[in-house]
Amino acid sequence: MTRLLLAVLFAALATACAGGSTTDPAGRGGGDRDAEAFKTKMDAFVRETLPKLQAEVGGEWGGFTARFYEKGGNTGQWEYTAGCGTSKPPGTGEQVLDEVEAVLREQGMEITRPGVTSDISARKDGIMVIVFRALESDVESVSTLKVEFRSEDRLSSSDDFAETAGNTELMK
Amino acid sequence: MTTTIAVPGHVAAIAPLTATARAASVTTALRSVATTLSDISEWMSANGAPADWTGDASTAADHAMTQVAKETDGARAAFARVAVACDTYVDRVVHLTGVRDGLVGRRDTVNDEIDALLTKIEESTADDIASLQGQATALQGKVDRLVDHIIQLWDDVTAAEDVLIAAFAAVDSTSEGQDAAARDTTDVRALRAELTNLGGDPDAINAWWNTLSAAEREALKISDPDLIGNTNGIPTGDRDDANRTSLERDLDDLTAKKDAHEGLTKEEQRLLDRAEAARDALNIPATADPPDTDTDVNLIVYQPGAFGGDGAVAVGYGDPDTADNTAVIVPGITNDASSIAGQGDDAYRLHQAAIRNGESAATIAWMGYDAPSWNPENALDWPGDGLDMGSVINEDKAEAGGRLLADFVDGLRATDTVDSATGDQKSNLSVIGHSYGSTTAAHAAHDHGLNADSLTLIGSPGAGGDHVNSASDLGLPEGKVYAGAAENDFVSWLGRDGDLGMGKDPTQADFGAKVISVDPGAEFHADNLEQGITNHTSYFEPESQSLANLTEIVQGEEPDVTGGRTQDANDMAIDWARDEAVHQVEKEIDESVQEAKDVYNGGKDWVDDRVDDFTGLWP
Repeated sequence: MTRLLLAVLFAALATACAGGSTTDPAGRGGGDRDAEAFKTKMDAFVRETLPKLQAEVGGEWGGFTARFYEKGGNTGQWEYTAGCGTSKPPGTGEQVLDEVEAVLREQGMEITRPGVTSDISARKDGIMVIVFRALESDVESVSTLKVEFRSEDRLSSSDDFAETAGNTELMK
Repeated sequence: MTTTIAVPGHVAAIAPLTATARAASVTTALRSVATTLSDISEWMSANGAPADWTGDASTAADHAMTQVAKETDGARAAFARVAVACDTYVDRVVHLTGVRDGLVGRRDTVNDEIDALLTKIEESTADDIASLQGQATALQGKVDRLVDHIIQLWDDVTAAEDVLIAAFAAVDSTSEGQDAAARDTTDVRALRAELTNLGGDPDAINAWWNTLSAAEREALKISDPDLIGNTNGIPTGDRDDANRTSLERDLDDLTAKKDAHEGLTKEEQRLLDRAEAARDALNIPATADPPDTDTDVNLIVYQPGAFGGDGAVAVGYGDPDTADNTAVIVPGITNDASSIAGQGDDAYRLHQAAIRNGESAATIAWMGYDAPSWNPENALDWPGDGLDMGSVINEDKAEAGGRLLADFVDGLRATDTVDSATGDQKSNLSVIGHSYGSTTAAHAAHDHGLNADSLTLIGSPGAGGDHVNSASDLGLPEGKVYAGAAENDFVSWLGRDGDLGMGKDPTQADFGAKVISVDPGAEFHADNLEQGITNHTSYFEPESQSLANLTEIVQGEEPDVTGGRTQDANDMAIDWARDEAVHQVEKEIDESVQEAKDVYNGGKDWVDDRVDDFTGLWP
């Protein structure tokens, strides 16, 4: 029985990886799961949100580079992610995080403060924003604040779009 | 009466260093060219005119080839010289960047103190004058010392640049290159033989490497980058130098061929895919903008043609030779060297989390064994990728990979440095095996005495073979075997003994591992197996319980531990199959009922329409 089940599971795994379905599982972010559609949406969101973050938080920001990663090997499941940081934003750690939270909340994002591997986690329409101080000890001031925009759900790309998309410079 | 207190002016901003550690890419390019020239020179020297040539033509060809070999070797020596100089320059730049950062901090402090003194003076009374004058004098001394140090910084920068320029100038003609070659007494063949004779013992190799001169090391990196880059016991920075040389060679050669529309063979295309994936993995920190230049990224393994073309690559974020904490992540099924960027993304995420406590860390995505893998588009390629994937149902690759993993970790232990100045100990070294990689890691532990401080098995199909009945059989320090599995990770339901199994489920309560808390993952059905795959590949997701716990383990802390499973792993699979059968039958019934309703409603609508028609005819 187990032998049969194991074979069935792996055959199914192969089929699932090759299939590239674009269905959206119930109860998750609610965004597009097609890689190209999601990229369009997230790129627009970043271009709208990042200038506000830069204006409110301050410090030395750079541009923003986004790219696709295939998760867990050659699974056909992708995530789209873009990360950057700002050096020495003015204010205490808590003030900086409050400013970031205010901007993200204004963008209609749901905010949590997990405080374990990051300081702020925000979600909206399948877009996730992770914000963390590079060092937990950055309380009186922040040496580097890192901000990552990413897909909350896995994306599919049956047309090789994700594989060939390359890097996107979002703020240049 | 007016009293004057001479308060020093603000110290001007310190200009940024235009040279950065990114200059290391120039060294790699120089070394790569030197390697190509070395290959040409060696080939020309070893191969004279074709054997069937005779007479004057043969003599002329031999003469010409000898001359080309000599000139090429001169160019090789010139590039080798400037590569060494460039390497030294980069080290100097890294040092001076640290000095500059320190001066910037001192400038901020002293300027704040000047502002504070000015405020005090504005609020002072006559009684404060003597004290304020004393403070101003002390502050002036501080400013003077700081300015001296800033001047010294720029002098040092200029001196470093002058040394580099002189090195280039010394070999910028053919004759100077040939002179350099003539003075080069390094016997690369003898060094290669010495290395080979050490038999792969990483401690002996490390000791031997440390006896070589900088020129000898550089010569070996240029002549044998594939050997030096992939030998356990060679320091990580030198492996990185050599492997980047090989990577650049492959990217240049294959991209040029592709751009020239010469057409790549299937093997060449696979090689290029893996080279590009390695480049992408190395660039992950740099694609943050401003780039993350703090993280020292190392290409520790680069063998893109290994394992029948699947390739072997390992990328480290942070330097394991100096890090406080080191983690080796072993991936599982569906992975090969072409997926190293995705693995690197997970490793870099773990690195960023692990350094938040202020300690240094190195996290290594180690695709150094032949995992059962395939590309989805080739899933039906039998016996090609299909056969490779079929090997997931036995442990052969895990057993072979276990030896390679244990050897790799031995290499990390050999090159790990103890800082005698600070008394820092060697790295706390964790091995994290995911999926089939956990079976591989378990074999490394049980069969080859994996020299790690902890072992974590996540999403495991089994803890390796019939001889591992409990955590204590893995030979790790007491209490340092961890396991974790999402409740809905179907791969973790496969643990079992026997011919087909890959060993016990390490998350079983009676196995004795510390079972870490992991998010359960969403339920999935046969018609949505993508969710099942997501559950199996989400252990490094941001904000996940597993990432938080893995971070604690890498930092040497105790993670959040739960009780282990009390239900047999295979029974979980059988329960899922049983529930799935019921689900599918119910779904089929629901769909049939809906179809019947649709037919009925459609028919009823038709009848109603006809009734309306007739009613319309006879009002």
